[in-house]
Amino acid sequence: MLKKINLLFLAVSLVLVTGCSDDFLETKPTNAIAAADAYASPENMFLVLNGLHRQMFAQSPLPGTVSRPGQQYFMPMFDVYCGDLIHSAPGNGWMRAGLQWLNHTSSTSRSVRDLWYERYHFIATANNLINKIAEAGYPTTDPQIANILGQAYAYRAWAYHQLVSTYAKGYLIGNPATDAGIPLILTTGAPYTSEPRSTVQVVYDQIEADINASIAAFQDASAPSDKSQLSINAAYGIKARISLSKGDWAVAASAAVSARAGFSLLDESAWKSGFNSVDLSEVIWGGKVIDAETTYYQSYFYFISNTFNGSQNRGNPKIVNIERYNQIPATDYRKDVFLPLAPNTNGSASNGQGGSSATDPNYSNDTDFWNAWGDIVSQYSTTGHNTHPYMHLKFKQKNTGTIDPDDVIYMRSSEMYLIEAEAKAMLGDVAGAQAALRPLGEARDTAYDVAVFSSQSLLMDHIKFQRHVELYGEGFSWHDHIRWDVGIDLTNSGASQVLYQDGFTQGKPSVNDAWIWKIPQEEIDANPNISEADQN
Amino acid sequence: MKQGYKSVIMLLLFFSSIVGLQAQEKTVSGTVTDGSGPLPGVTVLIKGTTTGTETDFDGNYTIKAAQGNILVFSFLGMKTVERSVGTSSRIDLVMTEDANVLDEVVVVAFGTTTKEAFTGSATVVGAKELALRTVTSPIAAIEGKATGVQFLSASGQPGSSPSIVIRGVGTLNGSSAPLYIVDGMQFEGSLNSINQNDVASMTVLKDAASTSLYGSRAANGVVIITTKSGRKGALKVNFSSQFGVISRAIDDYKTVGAGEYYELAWEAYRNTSTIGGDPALASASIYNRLGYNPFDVANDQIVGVDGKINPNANLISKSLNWKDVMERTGTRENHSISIAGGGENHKVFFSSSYLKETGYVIESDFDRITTRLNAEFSPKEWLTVGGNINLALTDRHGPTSGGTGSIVNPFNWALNLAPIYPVYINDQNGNLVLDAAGQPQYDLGTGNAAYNTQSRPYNPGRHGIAELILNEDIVKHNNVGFRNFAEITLMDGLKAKVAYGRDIQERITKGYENQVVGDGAPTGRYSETRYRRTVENFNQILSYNKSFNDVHNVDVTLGHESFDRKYTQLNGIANTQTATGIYEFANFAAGDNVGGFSTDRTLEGYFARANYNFDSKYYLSASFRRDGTSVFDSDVRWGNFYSVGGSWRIDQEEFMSNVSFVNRLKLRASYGEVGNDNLGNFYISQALYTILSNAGSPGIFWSSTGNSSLTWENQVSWDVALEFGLFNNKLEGSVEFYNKNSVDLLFNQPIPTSEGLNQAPFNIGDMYNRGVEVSLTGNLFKTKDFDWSLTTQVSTFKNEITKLAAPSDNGSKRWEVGRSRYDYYIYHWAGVDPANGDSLYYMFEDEVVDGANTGNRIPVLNTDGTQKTTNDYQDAGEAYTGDSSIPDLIGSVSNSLRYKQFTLDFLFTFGVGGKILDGGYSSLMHSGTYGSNLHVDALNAWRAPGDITDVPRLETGNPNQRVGGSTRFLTDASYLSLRNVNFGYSFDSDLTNKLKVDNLRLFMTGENLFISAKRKGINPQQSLAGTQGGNSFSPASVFSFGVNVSF
Repeated sequence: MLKKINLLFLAVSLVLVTGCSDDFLETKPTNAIAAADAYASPENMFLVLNGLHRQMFAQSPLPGTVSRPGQQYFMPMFDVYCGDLIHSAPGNGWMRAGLQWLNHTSSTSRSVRDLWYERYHFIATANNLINKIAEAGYPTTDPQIANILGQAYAYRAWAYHQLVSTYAKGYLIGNPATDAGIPLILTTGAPYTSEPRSTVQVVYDQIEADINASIAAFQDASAPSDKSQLSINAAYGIKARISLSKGDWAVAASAAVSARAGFSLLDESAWKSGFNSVDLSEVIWGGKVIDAETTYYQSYFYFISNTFNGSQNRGNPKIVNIERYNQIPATDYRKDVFLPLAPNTNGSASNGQGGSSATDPNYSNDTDFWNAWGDIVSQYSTTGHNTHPYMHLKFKQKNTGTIDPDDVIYMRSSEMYLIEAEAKAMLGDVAGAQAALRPLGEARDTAYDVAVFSSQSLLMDHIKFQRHVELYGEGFSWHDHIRWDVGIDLTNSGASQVLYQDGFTQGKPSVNDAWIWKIPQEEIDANPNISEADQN
Repeated sequence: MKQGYKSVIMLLLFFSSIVGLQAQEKTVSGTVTDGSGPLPGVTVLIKGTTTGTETDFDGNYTIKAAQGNILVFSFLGMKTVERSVGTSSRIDLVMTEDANVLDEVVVVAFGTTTKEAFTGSATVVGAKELALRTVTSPIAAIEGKATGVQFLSASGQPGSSPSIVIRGVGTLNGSSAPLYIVDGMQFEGSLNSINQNDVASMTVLKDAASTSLYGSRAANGVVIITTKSGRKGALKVNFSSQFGVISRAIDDYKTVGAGEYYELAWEAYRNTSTIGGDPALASASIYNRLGYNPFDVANDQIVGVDGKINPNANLISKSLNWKDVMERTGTRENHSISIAGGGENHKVFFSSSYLKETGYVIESDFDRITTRLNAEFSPKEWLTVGGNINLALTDRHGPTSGGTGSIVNPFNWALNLAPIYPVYINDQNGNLVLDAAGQPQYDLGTGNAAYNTQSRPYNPGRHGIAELILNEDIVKHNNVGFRNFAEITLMDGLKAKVAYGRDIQERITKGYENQVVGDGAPTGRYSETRYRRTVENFNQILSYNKSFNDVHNVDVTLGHESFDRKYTQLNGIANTQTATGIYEFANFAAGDNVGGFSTDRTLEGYFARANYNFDSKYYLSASFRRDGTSVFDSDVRWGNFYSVGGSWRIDQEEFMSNVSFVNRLKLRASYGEVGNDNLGNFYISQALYTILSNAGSPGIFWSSTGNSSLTWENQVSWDVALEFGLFNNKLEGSVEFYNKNSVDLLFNQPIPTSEGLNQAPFNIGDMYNRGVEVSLTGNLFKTKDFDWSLTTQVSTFKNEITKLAAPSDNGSKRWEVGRSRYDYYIYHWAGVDPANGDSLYYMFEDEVVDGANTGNRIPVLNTDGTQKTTNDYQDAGEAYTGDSSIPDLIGSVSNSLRYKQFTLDFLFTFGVGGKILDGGYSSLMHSGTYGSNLHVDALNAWRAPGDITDVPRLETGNPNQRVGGSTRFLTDASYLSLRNVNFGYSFDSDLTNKLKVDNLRLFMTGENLFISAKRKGINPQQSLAGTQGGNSFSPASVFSFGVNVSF
């Protein structure tokens, strides 16, 4: 009996002793690092910044997003939704609902939700960087730390500026002191209750404080390692944009000058090279897209270029506003990137003139019609692509007719000349505005004579024209409309009302609150400080 | 302790000496056979004693017994026989099979029990029931056989497996899949890797008492699959072969023809504000909107200004029906062989099978080879060593590119493309344009003036069928596994068992996108994903089983288990192909991008169970488990889970001995707590920054909030049941009620996206599931020539959220206290305005009481008290509809008939109540999207003031006319389905003897033969949430012919 009981003890201890060692239950992922480690050193904080730089163009890796590829989507979106970059056909549907004004007016649309989410993600990360550096007591004069702080503040200012100018009434056309802005969050983390909507003015105050903090930090900072890193020039550029949007003209003008220092204007061949490389001299800030990080059919060039090999591009050539095209002098080489006589080969072109020489008024016989098409498609290796009158070739890939990745440009010095000019024009400084315009105008147009723009209103008309042409497709139109308080009228633009529906005409932003994007429904549902009554 | 043992043994000795005194002993011997041969291993027991023996290898036994003693012969699967010892010293016996007895053995957590002794709730589906079905995944055979189990249908993809939910979904964000235990160890592989002929039984464990030994993994119930083992005796060979055809089981939605489509598109175009209702303009240019003219009239003559198709128009285009090209008659063949046998000290089972299915959609197929070897050896009386090894190699092709969300989802194309667009290029006369090889060419919809086509408004440049054919989707799967054990009998009734097993699943997925059309064009694109999942299970179990005084029966189990799941994945993509038909990276020159990661999930548990019964009348059972998981932080990762259960076999009571019509009556109840740690992410509690490079230089981004205090979600449940057999067991059944409270739910709480991420995990919220389950079997006839039994099962479901921090929108549902997790929260459609054909919506607003928003939605009222309507759905707002996707009840009727050698079995399943939000239908009821197909109901659209109809005015581009998430598309989910029919014939012994076989049976079976639902096109078992898009691989029906031989 004793023996049996010993056996029993032996067996019980066998069960108990075979318990596993302590670390058996400690597991870690292999594709991520712990949050605590992310801010453990300046080196790691640069990793965090790199994650943001990538998200400027990556198909969004954020949980719950629908793969909107950051600026690669949002830049064309802001030009398409207000009819500046015109769709010629329904194509495969990308952005169609948006240009019909069905997206930004719906609180559940993906664009509404993802723009908000992605920008606030940048803000959250910037908050963490700024606050962790303060907590850790790192010396802000250290060039590395200064660089991190400069970038973090710049990102936060940039993101809040995008949000407040999109989800709230424009600063210049509203009452910033009382208009509802957006939640202002400067510390991220549990219990995740966010904040109520601050007024537009309060948000702008924070944005200005941040961009000034950024520029101050950059004074001591190490040099940017590449153009995807925010630099002091980019920070000045962001400051110029902010100041312009709130009518702080003098600040805008001087920041624009500081921003473009060292980024010389493109010559004709560089301008016509397709805006596909951050190595272009004008590029102050841009994302470099390498093969391994390609976004394929979620790339900037997919949404915008007529040479990319996608169904969006083959079936829906993007065209320029005809009125705007007609304003371009023949001596301006930028006119060459638009093809007013490209045959309308697209049977489902929304203007109803597509398919053959029988429907295209520019052609009297099919031979000429198809020869013209053949010339274009063979020049750009785009066999299978439809062509359309007034299609653009401003954006061309390095390898046209393929799906190869190309870089994405967020900021270049031309914009800064135009900001300076506009700011000075608004200040009534005609000579100053002319001086700002001259280098750009003369670089583009051999017969450029800035003297003809001799009054504020002539200058402003000209600057609007310049921005439309120079910055076509670069994502500025929507906010230009708001700043200038200009509605949409596509009657003579070449756009089709059948396709554009509600987006064909819209009243000016000061009297038409449909320009203000809806707050995402998800935010309203989850934010205890915002209710349905706070919806735009 | 020592003293206790002694007294027990003394007591036993005492009793046996009394028995010994009673009568004179003699030696009785004999042979036991099962009709076909000797039956070894039969237990022979003198009734009322513990004295007994077993038959040897030749079926012989010898036992010392006294005259007047009763010998009890028992053997698993055979009817127990009693014989009294008379004057003869020889008792020979032929034992017969007993189907009922088979059911009474219940495989439970870490052991087995009998139906009588079991205090929990479980359903067993045995080999006999499985044999009636031709299912690729054995789990499908549970449908209709177990109460409280909801089935989501397998897709039509060959090899697809249905998924099941046991007693309702008890979690908000966590997994609702049950734990699968195969031969004692957690199984994470595909269920389609198990050959149904290898399965001895599947036990569905439903309540806490039966599942709590699996502790933290058991919240969703447990399915224990036990494979066949060898048997002592001569080798027995079983061979079966089936051949079948596969077709679509559910009819598609009814859609319009080409002429009707043109008329409706004309109407939708004319009604747009842009052309101001001008019919002449609509007639002149409707062609330009649609781009194709399948008729033999001019482009501007297709539809007249009256909106009618030109009477002279004949439909001349060919290949307009995409389904004709996409669908075919699939085939299925399945062959399997098994050999079982054993000797005194060993038993062995070997099987192998081959299955090949081609789906009813082109490019879809599945083949599988399985091999299994189960063996057990008892080299010493006190030692048993054994195990099994199995492998299943599967190979699948399927139209899976991009999934249902893809724009080349072929099902979407076949359903949603208007019937005026051909698969192949037609010339202007409606003749197919052939290429140089004489083959038709895909019409990619990019337009060709020579053939009078413009760009197709529906996905120009893409082609659902061309891409299906030219692309390649290959999935190869190797499943390898083994389970080994050693069991030592330490002393009478005390056993120690150590078991170790490992399953390895290796998968290669190859995806090729062609260079001609689609995302792979113009260079071709190739991706490959490989993974390897290794699941290790190691457990040590001590069990003690003893009867005292013949009335106190005790059975105690102690154990420890560790579980380690390792997963590693490698994926790559590249483009620019060199040669065609080679699906390897070497063939793709550019764009290489490689990724990969590994995950590790571990779990450790200690457990104990004690069962006690008094005199086979009163049963008590208690179990406890302590589990630790790697998913949670070290401070909170250990959880305790337990259960208690009891049953009372009323029929064993003295006072029931006079109630002759009651054969079996048992009342049982259980209570317990089990857990769930599966929120779909093994690192959910950790705040993480995921690696994300920027132009090749390293980077990271904030990807999850983590929550270090996150811990188990618990399920506290109780269960009470009455089981009975009446009128000589002619009527058998059970009635059961359960209540499952899920507390501290694992919940990915939506957080404001202004916080930078959209969710954070918390233990927030409580919810219950409860229901009644009734099962009734009538054994109506049981005669020599005719048997008939009929079983009806009905289960009800109720789910309610009882605690949640804040309401949470979840697609078409909204989670809120007092509502179920499947309550619809959508727009309320108010019908069609007879005056202008507008879609109207009932208006709701937030309820405000004393300046505070209550969170409720209340109707906006007109002055007359009726609810306000609007034609702008966004102004109307969403609100609860009072409907849920949860059926009120589901059930089944199964029939089993035998006349002489003929058998006929059939199984109906049904659901009553619940609503489907029919997305497939709503996508076909758009208000005029050029190029998109329309349902025949669109013909009833509003046309003139005063029209009373439920289809709004067609008007292209007006989003208010059709809102998918509205009550307009809520549809009754009730259905009746003929799930399975099996008709068989077993040849009589005259023939089988001549053929020298034991058994020869021919049969025909049909799976998914018929379904009746509210609307053609609906699959009522598509999703628990009741949503369906009409664009998935619709389930298949299989009709097969088979033969079974054993010798």
